[in-house]
Amino acid sequence: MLIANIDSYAPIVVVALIALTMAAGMLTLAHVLGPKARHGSVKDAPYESGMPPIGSTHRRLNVRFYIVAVLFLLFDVEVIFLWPWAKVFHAAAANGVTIPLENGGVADKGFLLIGMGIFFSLLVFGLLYEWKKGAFRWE
Amino acid sequence: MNFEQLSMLAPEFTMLVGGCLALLVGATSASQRAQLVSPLAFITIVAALLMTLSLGTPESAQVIPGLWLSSLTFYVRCVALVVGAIIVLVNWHQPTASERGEYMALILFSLLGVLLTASSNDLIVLFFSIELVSIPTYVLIGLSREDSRASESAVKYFFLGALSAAILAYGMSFLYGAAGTTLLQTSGDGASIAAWASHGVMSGTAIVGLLLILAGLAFKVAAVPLHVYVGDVYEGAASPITGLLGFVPKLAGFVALIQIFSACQWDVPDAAYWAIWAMAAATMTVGNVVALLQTNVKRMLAYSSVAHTGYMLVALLVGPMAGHGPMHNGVAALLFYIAVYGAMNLGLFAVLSAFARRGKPIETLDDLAGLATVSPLIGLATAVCSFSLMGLPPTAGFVGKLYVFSSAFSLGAEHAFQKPLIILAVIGVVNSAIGAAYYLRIVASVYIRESDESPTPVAGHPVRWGIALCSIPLLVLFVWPVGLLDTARQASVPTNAPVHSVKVVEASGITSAPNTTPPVLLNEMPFAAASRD
Repeated sequence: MLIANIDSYAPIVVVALIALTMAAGMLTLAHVLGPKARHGSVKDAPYESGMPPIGSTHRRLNVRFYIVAVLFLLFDVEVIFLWPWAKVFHAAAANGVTIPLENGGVADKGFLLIGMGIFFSLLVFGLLYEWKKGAFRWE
Repeated sequence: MNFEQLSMLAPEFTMLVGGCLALLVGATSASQRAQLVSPLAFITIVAALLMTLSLGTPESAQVIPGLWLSSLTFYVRCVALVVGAIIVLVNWHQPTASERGEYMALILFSLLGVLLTASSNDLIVLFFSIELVSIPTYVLIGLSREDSRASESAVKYFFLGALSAAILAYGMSFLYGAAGTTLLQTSGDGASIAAWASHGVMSGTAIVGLLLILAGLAFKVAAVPLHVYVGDVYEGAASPITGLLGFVPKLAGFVALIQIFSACQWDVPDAAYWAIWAMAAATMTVGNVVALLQTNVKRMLAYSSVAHTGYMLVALLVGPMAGHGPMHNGVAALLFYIAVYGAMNLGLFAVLSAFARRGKPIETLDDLAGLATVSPLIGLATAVCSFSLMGLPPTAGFVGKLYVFSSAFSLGAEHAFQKPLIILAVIGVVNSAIGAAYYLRIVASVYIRESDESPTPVAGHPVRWGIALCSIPLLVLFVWPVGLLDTARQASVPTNAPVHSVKVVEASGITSAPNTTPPVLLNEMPFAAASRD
């Protein structure tokens, strides 16, 4: 039964094959047909007629950027959860669609609202904590 | 869902709110306010405990999808919160003032994870609960002291813990593939792992899944061969946090194992049975033998914790419905033993954190020399905890070991694994004797050994209270173990699942509450029926 369903994955395989062929073909064609590059110390420099680069490009980033990245991830993921919730809530609020629960009850508007309320208040609390802790201060 | 059902989760909500408050109070810059964090954490746990007691043993039922309250929930809530309150007492002054909020909040969140593990009714909820237990402990090790060894052990524990979580999740995916649902049990005849397991023999997929789950949880409970981290991690963390590490992840791991096995009707396939058998034998032996070779007390106790996992695995293998006689219930013995283990292990680590020698925390047996002359009462408490770990009367450790091993010996001849289990119990008894050697070295160091420089007390009153609260119950439980053991017995039959456990309920004379809620299918997957064969 699982094997039978594998037919529906055929388009993905086709798309993947086309993408691979196109990418490989373009690179090969550019290599074969394109003008041959000259090599030399000046030609291979990062900026041929510009300034000579100073220092390594593999420098350490300031640790503050990591905090920014973590905060971004946190509040970005939040939106991922909000979006499907909003769709379901809209269905429940506008059309009265309910989800039957295991214990015999139903997940109606109130249930969805309480669930998201708990989730969201935890996130707001997290924001408050970050603020108090000074994570938003650049200095 | 109504509010009456939600109020059954009051202890969990209390822990959540208390943890958040501790974070917020700790984040305020005023250092006076940081002094409020430890009392706040303590009050939160006591409040959650009082709520648990006033709610009583919940009717075995699902409150919200994925959470199922039962007598197991009640028992684990009580044990985790009582020991959790002592953990907070022992850690009272440990963190620096600027980090106290995070520190206490992480302890509360980790305990919350234990509570949720005991009430989860879904593989996914179970997985997240175990991660909620584990992730705070990674951070706590690093926060616990300013030492490169603490950072090292935090990183080690984190990477190995992440690996074990991956193995656990992978195993759960196999079990889901075989059973077609992630629900552990349902009130009616809906799709659940319990209903699936009661129908017939397990497929190869299910056995692979169970073995992987076993491997993932073996890391949490520190069973051989996934025990290699304990020495370094327990040594690197500050003593008060090591006390937590020896108990909280172990409790969560064993509760998760009980949950999964009871969903599988304790009908463990032979491959998994022999795997646990070998694991238990190796865990007891390796733990005790390696502990014999240590001079560092923390490493010694780390390997002793491995050995105790082995004893508990014996009881797990016996299961709840084997044999005859008053002590036939292996799971009740396991639940009783782990509660006692939590107290005696934490007591010794509290003693270690209560003293310093030459300005450094106590680490080796030499550091402990002369402790009894400095503080006779704490010396006595050390002796009580050590004797209890050893399994000598008059302590609860003796009662615990008695229950664990007699559950194996009371197996009837009709049990397929009667002989292997009796051999295992004999290995366990021999190991207890080996273990006595190194626990006696601790007691000898405290009482007999002379020292040029005795340890000096550094702890405040909360730590002293913590030591007292660990050691006195060990003596009380020796005289009167019935209260705890009866609760453990009730907790060992948490399911109202159809087949075997009903038999046990009748045999032990406990009537489970009838379930009135009608079955509604939610998690039934399209290929559930197909993958059964």
